[in-house]
This record gives sequence, C-alpha cells and structure tokens, in this order.
Amino acid sequence: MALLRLIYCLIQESLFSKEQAAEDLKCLQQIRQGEKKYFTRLTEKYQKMIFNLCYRFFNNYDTAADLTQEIFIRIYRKLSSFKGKSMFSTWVYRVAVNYCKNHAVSGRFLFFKKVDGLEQQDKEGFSYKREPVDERSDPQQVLSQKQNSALIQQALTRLDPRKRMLLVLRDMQAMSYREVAAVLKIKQGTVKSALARARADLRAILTGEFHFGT
Amino acid sequence: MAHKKIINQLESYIKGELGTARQQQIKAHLAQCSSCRREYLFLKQYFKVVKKLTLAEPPADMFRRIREQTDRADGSHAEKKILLFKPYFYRIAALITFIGSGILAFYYLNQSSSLPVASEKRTPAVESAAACRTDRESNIENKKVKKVKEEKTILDRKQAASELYRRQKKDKEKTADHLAEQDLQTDDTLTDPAAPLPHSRKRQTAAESMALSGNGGALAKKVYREKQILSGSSLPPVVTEITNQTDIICISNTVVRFVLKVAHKRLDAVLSLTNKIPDYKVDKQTVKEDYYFFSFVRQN
Repeated sequence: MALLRLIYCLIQESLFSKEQAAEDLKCLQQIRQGEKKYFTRLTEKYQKMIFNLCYRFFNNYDTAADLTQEIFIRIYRKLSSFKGKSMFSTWVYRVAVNYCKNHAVSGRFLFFKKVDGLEQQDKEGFSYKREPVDERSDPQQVLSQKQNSALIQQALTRLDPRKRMLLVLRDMQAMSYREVAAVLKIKQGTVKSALARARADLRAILTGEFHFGT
Repeated sequence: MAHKKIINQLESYIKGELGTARQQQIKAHLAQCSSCRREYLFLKQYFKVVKKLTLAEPPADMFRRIREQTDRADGSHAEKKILLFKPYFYRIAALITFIGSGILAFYYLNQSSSLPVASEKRTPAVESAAACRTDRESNIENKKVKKVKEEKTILDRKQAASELYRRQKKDKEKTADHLAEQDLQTDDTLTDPAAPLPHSRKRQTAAESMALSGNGGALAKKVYREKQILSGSSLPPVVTEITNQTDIICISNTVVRFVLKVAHKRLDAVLSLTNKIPDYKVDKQTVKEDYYFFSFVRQN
C-alpha cells in the first residue's frame, strides 16, 4: 500500500528522486516510532531549500534564518498531520509557503525589515552583499549580475505575496509547473497564467522604478 | 488573444522547449510586434540573471538551533497542544468567569440588603450617604409595617362586624320565632289596636338591628331610643299598602313616628303618600347611599 502511494506521489510530483522519497518515508516511520534523530536527517536535507525560499521571498538574510528555524519547529510539531497524500517534500514546501505568506501578511515583517535591512543595504538602497554568485566569472560581469539580481529581489518585495511566491518557486527554486501546482494546490493552467501576470507586474516595477536592462 | 498566447509561451521559446514550427511562428511575430518584443527582451534578461542565481548558504548555527528547539519541544513527534491554546479553553474560561461574577454579585447584594455596611475606615461623606440610605430604608420598612398593621386592623374590624352581624341575625330570628309563638298563643291581643302587629314588630327588630350595626345612622338610633320610651303603635292602612311593595321598608314604627327606607326610584310613591296621610308630616329626611330615609311624625 505504501509502495502504491509512493508511486502515485511520484507520478503526481517529481521534486525528488524515487530514492529520496522512499528515504523520507523511512525517516518518518522511524520518527513515529520515537527515533528523534531521524528528524535531524530531514532537517539537514531540506534546510537549505527552505532557507533559500524564505531568503528569496523576504530578501532578508536574518529573517530568512529565523523563519527557517520556526518552519522546521512547526514541521516537527505537525508531523502527525502528514497523511502521506502527497510527497513529504511537497508537504514541507507547502508548510513553508503558508508560513511565509502568513508572516508577510501579518505585517510583523514590515517592522523588522526596516531595522534589519539597514545594515545590509548600501547607499543606493540595494542589498546584494550576501548575494551568492559564481566568483570565477569576470568581475565586471559579477558586479552586473549582483546588481541585477539585487534589483530583481528588490522588485520582488514590491509584489503581493501570492505573485511573489509563484516567481520564487518557479524562477528561483526552479520548480516545474507541476511541482508549483502541487505545492500551491492550484491547477497547472492557473500557474501558467498567474506566472505571466506576475512577470508582467515585475517588469513594470523593474523598468519603471529601477530602470532594469537600460 | 494571439499576443496573450505568445506571451504565455515566451518562457518556453527562450528555453527552446517548443517545436521548430512554433518557434518559427513566434520568431516571426516578435519581428512584427513591438510590445511582445519588449516582453521577450525583458524575459530574456530576467531569465539570464535568475539562472545564474545560486542557492544561498544558511547560517552555520541554524541547524544547531533547529536541533535544540526540536529537542526542547518534547520527545513526541505529535504536536503537543497546550491547554491555553485549545479552542475550548477560552469558552470554558469565559463561562467560569461569568458564573463566578454572577455568584459574587448575588452574594454581595444579599449581604448588603440584610446587613448594614460595616467598614473600618470611612470618610464623613460616605458615612453621611450611608446614614441617609439607612434612614431611607428604615422609613420605607416602617411604612410597610404600618401598612400591614392597618390592613390587619381593617380585616379584624371587618371580621368583628361580620360576627356581630351574624349574632344579631340569629337574635333577630330567635325574637321573630318567639313573637310568632306568642301571637299563636294569644290571638286576642291582635284585636287590641294599641298592641303592635307582628309585622310591625318584625320591622322594629329590623330597625333595632340596623341601629345597632350603624346602617341606619343617627336617625335610626334616635328612633330606636323613642321606641324604648313609647310602646304600641300602628301604621295607617295606606302606609302598610305601600310598604308591602318592594323597595319601601318601614324600619321603625312608634306611636308618633315611623321611618321609611325608600329606594331612589320609589321616591314618587313616598311623595304621593304625604298627601294621603294628612295627619302625618315629614319631619326629617336623610340620604344614605341608594336610599332615602323619611321620618313621618304625627301632627297633634
């Protein structure tokens, strides 16, 4: 039965390979039997992805770190509510996405953003000091890449949380339409049209306010 | 519509995911359409930047912190709901508060109504206010007690009056029986004009009872006293005719005077009576409730 469910999940979503999904299920079984150390395995596996999701969504390193921590504690507490109807990775992403959206809507972030963001922003107001890029490239290109990515990040924060999340999942986390649809619990067609609208909005912000590409 | 479709497929076009025919179609459209070309140029640059974005490294201590937190969050993997955050907790708390406040209010009200407020330290203003309040309360209580007492006395009086009336009624019946027996024994006495008729005797006893109970008023009392002095009288035949009718009662009959109790509606009968008995004239006339009392006195 578990195998059938796993196959069904794999058909529906393909965030991870078959082996990884099976490993997740094994870890979950062990955790349910009281083996706490297996949760650290899951944490190790997903922490970077969840952290990056938060980082791209909020464009703030410290907030992303704090939120990742909170999300994993939430996942730990809510493990019993995972029924295995989807892939564990999808479920983890869903928890993270909902947590980030709620956090953004609650307005708490607006207050902290102003305080935390100051030290990271340069005189032009862009925060790209922590922006990871390939250091082997041409310095001029690296600077340009840093600037452009910082511009995109800045423009993203101006979008509403739903559109922002779509762009983060699809463009920055490089998820397929199917995976995005599974995480956000919407149809693939809706994902495509919503993405087009989100990109149009982003373009309007980037070209209008940040003179992106000029 | 065509623009929208092409814009939706621009991503696939840039990434080279479309068929060659479709790629050619879009390429041709972009050469013609400036707005779609602008969108294409933006997306091309956007994907170029985004593609080069690598995953940011999380802080080194984040993993340790998560581990500490999960260790602290107790051994069970299931979420432990604290009582404070359970949905019914607030309802129960609200219910307990409501009931508790209700009990306190009830207790306080009972205490304040039964006992005077006793406090160690009081300001003069508070004391005077309390004194005024107690005075007012005591006055109200006194009034209530008085009212109850009055009601009691009225009830007692009524009872006494009703008892008296019952006793008098019994006496009256007894005397009537006694007189009837006497009449049966001495038939000869009926021929005596000075002797009073049994009927008139009965009227006398009625007048007596009325005088005693106070229904007839001062006039009836006076008549009763006259009756005590004088004895033996008879009504003129015209009067007996009228008094045999309803609503006209002869309540007293002496030698010189007789008193009629007349209902208002029978007043005309009494007025016509005054012409029929010239040797009698109306001496006094009083009104009580629905009745007239006419006192006829024989003229010398």
